[in-house]
Amino acid sequence: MQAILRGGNRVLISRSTNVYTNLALERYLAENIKHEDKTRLLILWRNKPCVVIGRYQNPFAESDVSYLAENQIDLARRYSGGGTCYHDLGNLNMTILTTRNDYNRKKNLQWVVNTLNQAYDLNLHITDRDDVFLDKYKVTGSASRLERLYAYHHFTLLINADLKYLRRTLKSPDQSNIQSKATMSVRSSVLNLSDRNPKITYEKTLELLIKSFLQWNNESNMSNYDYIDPLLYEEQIKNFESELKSEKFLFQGTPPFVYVIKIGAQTIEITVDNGIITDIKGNDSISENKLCRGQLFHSVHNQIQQLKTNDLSV
Amino acid sequence: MCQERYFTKKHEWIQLLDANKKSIEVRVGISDHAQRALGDVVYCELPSVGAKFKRDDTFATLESVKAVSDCYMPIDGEISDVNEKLKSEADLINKSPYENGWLIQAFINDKEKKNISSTLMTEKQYKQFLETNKEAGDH
Repeated sequence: MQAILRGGNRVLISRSTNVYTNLALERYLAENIKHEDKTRLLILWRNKPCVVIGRYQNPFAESDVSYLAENQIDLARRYSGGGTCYHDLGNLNMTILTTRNDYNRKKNLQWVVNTLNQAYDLNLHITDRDDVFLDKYKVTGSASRLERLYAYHHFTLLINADLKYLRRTLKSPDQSNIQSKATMSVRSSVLNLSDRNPKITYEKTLELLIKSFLQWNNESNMSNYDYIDPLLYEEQIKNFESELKSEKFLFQGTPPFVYVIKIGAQTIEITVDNGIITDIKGNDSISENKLCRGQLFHSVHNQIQQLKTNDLSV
Repeated sequence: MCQERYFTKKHEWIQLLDANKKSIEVRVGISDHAQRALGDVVYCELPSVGAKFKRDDTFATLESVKAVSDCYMPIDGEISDVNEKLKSEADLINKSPYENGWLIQAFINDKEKKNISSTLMTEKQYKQFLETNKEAGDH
């Protein structure tokens, strides 16, 4: 058990494809590893289909929450900032974990870009938002979390993900109804690396990045990488896992917002704080109205959607 | 009239507010160095009034340029007020880190008040600290 927490330049590859487990594992490692100055830990992971929102985002503004539920696509809120992304097995997640002082997003991305450009003959470049683009298409999104003793920078890499699903899940029917100060995603057109070069696969990329990472960090031992089965650390990560799966964290962790529905001349305004409806204006004329203060917004979301489509004069 | 500021190694500042009341109250924020390192703050999560924290506990979390960072209590205290303006104008932290961009106010006890000057850095010491800790070389 202790071996997994040693510091130094290392690579760990998660065997899990569950987004909550992987996010919990990432946080557990970040908080418990004995980080050493000037060393980096690379965690490689991927998830079965899911949507991941940033720490201070509104899931309803960023994705089609009903569609996700109907199609058993997990919805997760991560601990780092940034925007919303869709993950599936064709998307590789990378986390670079260091001491707080050694945190450097640009260096991390430079390493990835150089490695991929060289191996696959591509022309990737880094934007000032710390995204990686191929021509005008985004292939990587970054986010970070900085704590007292450690910092991590994690980013996605679209290798051969299902872009149809990506677009469908990230299309929010509520986006124009929500007014809030939550962090908004900055949307871009995306592309899979394999669309540009069909020889690029997940397995090849994994192998390539492991080798390149160890070389970058002057590790002579090329087999200094381990597969990690998070099930073996169930006890250690279960608290984080529970938090990540909880409705409280997912929905009630949303910054305050007002949900506005305009039907003809009528406007209904629903104020939501900590995921709970605290005020409703303009709904007196709705006969079939079941909304009231104190309800959890996410529990009545479907009814609210119906209000948008039903004829109010019934 | 406010008193001088003291600084932590994690770039928070603390300032004693004038004691007209029975209790000792302080104001806490982050330094100009910290706000520049963060970049534009887009969201600020503040604690509730009444919440109690120990020194080094996370009392607030900021999001800037896709990075979420915690702010740590310089000393033990109980939250007496939070800067409500930050809810709609989180970037006040960047524009005015020492004045309008303050984060919280807290009640502290006498022992903690003494701890401020004995365990934290004066503005001058903080400036020196920044000088000697400038980003070291490459790796």
